[in-house]
Amino acid sequence: MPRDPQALLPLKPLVFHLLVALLDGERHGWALLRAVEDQPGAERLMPGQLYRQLAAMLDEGLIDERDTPGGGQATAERVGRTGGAAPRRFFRLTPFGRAVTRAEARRLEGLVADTRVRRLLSRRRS
Amino acid sequence: MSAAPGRGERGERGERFYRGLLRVFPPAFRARHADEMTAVFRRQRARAAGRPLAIAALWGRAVRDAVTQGLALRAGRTGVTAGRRAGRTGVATGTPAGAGRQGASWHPVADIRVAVRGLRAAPVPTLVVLVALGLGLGGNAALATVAYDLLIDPLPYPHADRIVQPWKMRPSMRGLALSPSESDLDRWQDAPGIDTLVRFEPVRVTLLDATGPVLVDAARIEPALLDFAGAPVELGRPFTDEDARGAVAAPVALVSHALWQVRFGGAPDVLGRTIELDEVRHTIVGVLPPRFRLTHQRPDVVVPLATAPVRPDGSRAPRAVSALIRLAPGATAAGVGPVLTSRLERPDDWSVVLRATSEMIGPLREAVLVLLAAVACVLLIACANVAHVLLARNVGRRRELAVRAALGATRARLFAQVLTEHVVLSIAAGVVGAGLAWAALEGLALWRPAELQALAFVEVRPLTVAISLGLSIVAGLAVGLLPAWMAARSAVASRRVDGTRTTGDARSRWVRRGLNVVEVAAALVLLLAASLLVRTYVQLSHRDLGFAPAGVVALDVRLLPSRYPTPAAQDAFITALAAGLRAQPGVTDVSAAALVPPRGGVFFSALEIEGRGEAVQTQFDGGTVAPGFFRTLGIPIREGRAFDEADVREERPVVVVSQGTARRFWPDGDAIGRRLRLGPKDPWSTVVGVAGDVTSSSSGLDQPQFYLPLVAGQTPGAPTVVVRTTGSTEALVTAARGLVAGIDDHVAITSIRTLDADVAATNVRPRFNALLLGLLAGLGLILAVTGVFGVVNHAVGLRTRELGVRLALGASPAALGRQVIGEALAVGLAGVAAGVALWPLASDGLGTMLHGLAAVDGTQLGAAAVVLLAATAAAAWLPARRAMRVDPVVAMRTE
Repeated sequence: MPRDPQALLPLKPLVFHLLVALLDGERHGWALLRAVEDQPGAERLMPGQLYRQLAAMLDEGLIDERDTPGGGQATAERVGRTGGAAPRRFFRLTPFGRAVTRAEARRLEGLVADTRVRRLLSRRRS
Repeated sequence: MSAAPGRGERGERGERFYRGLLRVFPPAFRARHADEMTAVFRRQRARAAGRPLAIAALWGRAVRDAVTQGLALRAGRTGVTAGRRAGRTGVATGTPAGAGRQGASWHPVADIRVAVRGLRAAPVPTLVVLVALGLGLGGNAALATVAYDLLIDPLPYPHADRIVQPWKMRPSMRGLALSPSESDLDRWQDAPGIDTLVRFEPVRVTLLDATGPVLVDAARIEPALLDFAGAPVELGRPFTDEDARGAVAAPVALVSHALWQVRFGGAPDVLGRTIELDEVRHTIVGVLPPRFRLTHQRPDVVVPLATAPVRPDGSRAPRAVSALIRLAPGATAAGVGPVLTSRLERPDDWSVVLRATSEMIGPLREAVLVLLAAVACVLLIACANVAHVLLARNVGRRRELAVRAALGATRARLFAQVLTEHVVLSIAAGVVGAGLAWAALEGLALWRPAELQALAFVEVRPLTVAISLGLSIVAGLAVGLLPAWMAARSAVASRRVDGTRTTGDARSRWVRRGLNVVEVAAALVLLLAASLLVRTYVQLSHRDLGFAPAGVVALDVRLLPSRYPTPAAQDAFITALAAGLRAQPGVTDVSAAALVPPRGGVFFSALEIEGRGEAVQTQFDGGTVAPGFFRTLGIPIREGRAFDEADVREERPVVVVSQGTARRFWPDGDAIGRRLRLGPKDPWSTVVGVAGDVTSSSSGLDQPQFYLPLVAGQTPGAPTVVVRTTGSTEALVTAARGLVAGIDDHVAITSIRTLDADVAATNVRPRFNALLLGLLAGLGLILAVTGVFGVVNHAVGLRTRELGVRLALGASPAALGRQVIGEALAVGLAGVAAGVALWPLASDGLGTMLHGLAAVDGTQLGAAAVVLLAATAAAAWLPARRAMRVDPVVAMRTE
């Protein structure tokens, strides 16, 4: 029976950041961490926090993992730039995960679309 | 060419450490993600390379990340949704007291809240535990503080563990030791193994102020001693080397904090004021810190120790100077002792012994250890009592725990909750115990016998509270573990919510009976120890002293050399005083002596018995005495005569020996007329009399007792004047004070006392020991009896239905009562047997507290056993009556 993406909302902010980072394709752990830290409003991540959320996302079926890199963006990552062994696991969005990401994005959009919020934002700009 | 090993090694170490941190995470998670997490962290470190602060911050975040995320995972807190703490199954954990499946984790805050509520709901058992355990914990905390102050940290000096006091000994002295001479100390100054050596001389000086002369404790100290003691002056300045050199010309002094407060009102302008010590004006240059002490003394005044003049032959004038040595780090007393011995003038005859500060309190050490063991016994009994209460509470809570088990609480969860409650209770008892310990130590400070000087330094400190609370946690765990385990086990195993009995109850009853046996055994040991010490005290206080102290007053005065420079002047004062005393109503005899029993002394010389060969270094008791001494003190003359005025006037070489001495040196029984001398240059003295043996503080060493005629000027200061009266000793004391002041109001009375009081003072320590142990034994007995009562009463309560059935079937109430008491007596007997078996171990520890008296005899053992069995039977009496009065009809309706 198809699962309802709404059932998992609202998502934790970090989970949403991770899902957004995976929208562009597979990433390994280090790349995910860098991508999340680069997003506006994201905090600095530590491996424990990162992998705890990845484990939960794997459990919920939002993402799955592969042991070797597939095509796409991931191959552009220069593995050896800052040293360390080549990663073996890559994470990618599942269709369900994509649906949940879309649902959360719509929810957040709906929040920002509220006229009071827009007035607040326009007042800040001026 | 090698690579940069440092960075690589550091990297490996860092990685190993990070992997160690990851052990906080659950094993399954680690197995899946640890490698990648380590790889990510490695990159983060590489990113921060070259920036030490950034690396340090990263490690801080890594530790925090591991702990918080790892524990969260172990607590089952996972999920992607914000705002909800959903477990893997998505079901809420709920509160420990609520319905729903309860996990196996420990919820400390909630459990503590539940525990406090539960304890308030059952005030009687809670109070019983607080009182019983509080007494045991408080007693232990108080005694442990005493033990710490006396045994572990008796000297609050820096590096006190390295501080020793040097003594010189010879084989013939059999344990007695002498202080080293100043020449010895000079030779030791730069010995290897010695870090610092300081000298001091405890003295008593006459302090003269507006209220009159008063004798105070004082000391002459080297300027370096205050540094050695880590005691900077509170006000003013310490002594300098110039002060020591100029000690005669411009004398200075430091006063104690107490003296400053009492005599100078704590005024800051005390500096520069003068005080008269031994008729010499001293300028006050500073105030000592409040807790300053010199070994076991708290001197009121200290003055610089003037360096003794060096004689032409290089030696110094002999002077009794004490010393303290701080050993160099790593040096030991056993290693440094021989080095110092080798530097003595006669290293073949003498040896140096270095005694640690903790040994300086002597026999009190053993007493403290015995009392510690005794109070630990009391705590053991108290813990057994508490275990009873907790086991009994388990029965009452069976339904509650069974309900929770039925609703899904695991055994571990129930165990954690019940144990938390027990530990909370015992910590509360620990707080009560800390309060009781404080009260006990304050009480000790108030009515401590004056003779037990060492106890003056014991005071309440944070250690007292820490010990009480620390012990309470240990006790709570020790006592609470078994009941908690049994409660959880029976609740989960039976899952019966109707509260009916299960096999767990029988086990509980056996456990409680076993605890009763332990309590009774410990109480027996305490009772025997206390009775033994009481017997010791009674025997000591009734022993034959060899003299008659009743009605005798001893008076010591201090004749300053400046006012009484010659023996004739001293003799004139004593003669005038004696004449005045003789004229007092009721006075029958007046005499004088260098030392008066029971205060013994140790005189030391080369004793030579005529016709017996070479002189032997011997110590002896007795000393110089004036005519009339033996009559005044009631010492019988068994043979020959005592001294008379002619002996003194003509300075005849005569001696009186004790009976034991005569038997030892002249076993043929004919001592009168024999000759001996107490030094190669002394004249031969003829034995003119044999007196009865006298017991004094040093006579336990089987020393010979020789008495010589007291010649004026032989005693430094003045001899002790002794007066026998048939009238009131209080009136005589008052008259004596007036007489001394009338002759010379600059003369201070060092001490004035009745010999009865002196004799009683020698018994103070045995009395104190007996009293304290008696109190502990009484407490132990009360607690043990309470424990027996609790168990028997509870058993009767449980057996109400059975008793009702038996009564209905025709059993006589008396028989039921006898059965209840019989069961209690069986436990008592088992306890007594266990106690008797343990007693030999305990009695070994009593050692020298028994003063050589025999160990416990059959009568004492029998008496203690009877007392305990009677107490056990008495404890069972009320429950027996309850059993006898059971109404069969009501009982059979009762569940």
